[in-house]
Amino acid sequence: MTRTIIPFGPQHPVLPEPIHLMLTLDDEVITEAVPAFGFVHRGLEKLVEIRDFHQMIYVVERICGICSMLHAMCYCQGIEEMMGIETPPRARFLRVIWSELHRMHSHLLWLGLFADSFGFESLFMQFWKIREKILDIDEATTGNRIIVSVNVIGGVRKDLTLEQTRGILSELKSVETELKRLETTILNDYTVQNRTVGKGVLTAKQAYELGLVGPTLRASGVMQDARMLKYAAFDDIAFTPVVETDGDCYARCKVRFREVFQSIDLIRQAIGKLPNGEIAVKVKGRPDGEVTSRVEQPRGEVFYYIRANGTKHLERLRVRTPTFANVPALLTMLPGAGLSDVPVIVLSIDPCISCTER
Amino acid sequence: MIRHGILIAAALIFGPLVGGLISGMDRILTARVQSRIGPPLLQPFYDVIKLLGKEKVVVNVWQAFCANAYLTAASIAVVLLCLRSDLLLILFIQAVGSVFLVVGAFSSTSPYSQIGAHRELLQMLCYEPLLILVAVGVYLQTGSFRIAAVHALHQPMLLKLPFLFLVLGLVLTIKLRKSPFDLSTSHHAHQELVKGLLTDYSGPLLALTEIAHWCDTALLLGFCSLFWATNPIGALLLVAVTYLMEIWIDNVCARMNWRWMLGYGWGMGMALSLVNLVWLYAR
Repeated sequence: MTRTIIPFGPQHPVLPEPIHLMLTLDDEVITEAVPAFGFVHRGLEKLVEIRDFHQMIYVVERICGICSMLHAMCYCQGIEEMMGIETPPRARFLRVIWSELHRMHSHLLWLGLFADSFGFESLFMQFWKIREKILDIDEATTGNRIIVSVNVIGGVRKDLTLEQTRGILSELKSVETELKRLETTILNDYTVQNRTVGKGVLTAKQAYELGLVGPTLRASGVMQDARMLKYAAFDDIAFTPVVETDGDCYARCKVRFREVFQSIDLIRQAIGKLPNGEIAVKVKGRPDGEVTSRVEQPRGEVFYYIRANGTKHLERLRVRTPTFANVPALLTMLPGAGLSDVPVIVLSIDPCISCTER
Repeated sequence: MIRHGILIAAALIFGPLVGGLISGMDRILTARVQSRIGPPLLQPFYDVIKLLGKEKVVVNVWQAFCANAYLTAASIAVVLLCLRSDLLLILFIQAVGSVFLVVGAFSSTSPYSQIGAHRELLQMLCYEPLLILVAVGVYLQTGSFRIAAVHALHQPMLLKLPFLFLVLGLVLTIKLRKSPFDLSTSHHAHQELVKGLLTDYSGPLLALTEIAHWCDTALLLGFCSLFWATNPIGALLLVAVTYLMEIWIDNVCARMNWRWMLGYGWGMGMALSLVNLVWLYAR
């Protein structure tokens, strides 16, 4: 075969969201990959002009369903810092619990989609089946399965009863058991390793210089995680980032798989140390000044820039999502790869176009 | 003559019918393995009936001709199997049908279709020599390429051709487009080529390719049944176990690429075939 140009997306069964890749092939080898965005851009940042700073929590939660809790947490932490609000300790621990539950269901969603990208449908279904348990916890504790909407400026709006924390721990035990059963398949299966080991390799230097974030960066051996900034209750919880060194699709899978277990551990720690007391403080006044806020989303570090002028409307809100930082890696990883490896490599950065097209 | 007429009619009706039912059963069992409920048993027939009722959109006339030729060849192969005809002739006609499907895909301008057709050709390159080697094994065992000679055996052929039966199983996995060999197209379109070589087939023409695929399934499972032709219940059990193994393999493997398929198919397939053939010849 000669040179072929093949469109990959924006509508493609393998891709969960609309990203477009114009792939130039020589036989079945990629010689050039040009990504394109902008198919579902919503301009949510512009809404600061007509929604007040409290209402904007609901807007940023809808930037992305999968990491909605973390968007809201990042935004609230930014406003709290700007207004000098000290959130109650219990609220900080509750934020850790729900944010790690979010990371778990996001990673389980990804593990399923990743298995689907190399044609392992039964594994895809098993991961999604386990994910349902996490969504059930979210529903039982917040009333919603995805957009949990628990953050408010000054704390959280929902509390956990003793019975609920016991329920969470019991469910996590069963999730842990089921995940361990899948570990042999996702990490040791010959066909899975054949499709992922040595594919889309990024060295630590490349990953760092490209400005990558999250599991994509940590799988290349760079220990960088926004949770190391000790936001929320992470200063009271033992935490070491999960790092792998091979920098290929398999390493990225391994990081995310291990991070699910790490999240279980973090939730257990948070529940174990959950202090009594208030879950929110009353907010008075209006924000003024500018601030940046960072938290670790499942896909990596999300960055918020907030500027306010003392009115109820913010002056500027800018969100840098992890997928936007990770997409340049595709331009390095795809050339030279086979066509059959494209879904695996693209999925390995866990692209969230909904976040990127905020 | 009347008996032949009845056999031909039965093959034309029951060939695709059995293939469709097996496909329905496959979907249910696969769903259960994946912790799903799955569709009704007759879902493949509902799908095909719906496709047949859709507007006929012909991308080009040659592709429409190829879809019809594929179905015709697949049906003739099933008829010849029922008539206990020559095994080589059956395999040749089956191959001609597959070539028409590939040529039809090549006649489309879609890059998905083109690359899918290219991969399907590689798949054929992989399994066709293996099928011929299985046929040679049958010849060495029976002294004839005619299926009637297999039915005249007093002992199941599987006892003498165990490795060649495994090779036939390998061919079946490729032909049924099960993981790890769902390269040229896949049933659910969750792969880089979406529907691959079937991309530009739609409506009634896609229905024809689906019916032809049922015929291919019936043909290959009929071929498997020859390995225990001495007893109908034994043959049925052998086919059932073989198909269950196919479903199992499909659910425990990721999709591989065509380079791996050629290496593994030729390496493993040829090695197993040659061991069995040398043993038969030496005996």
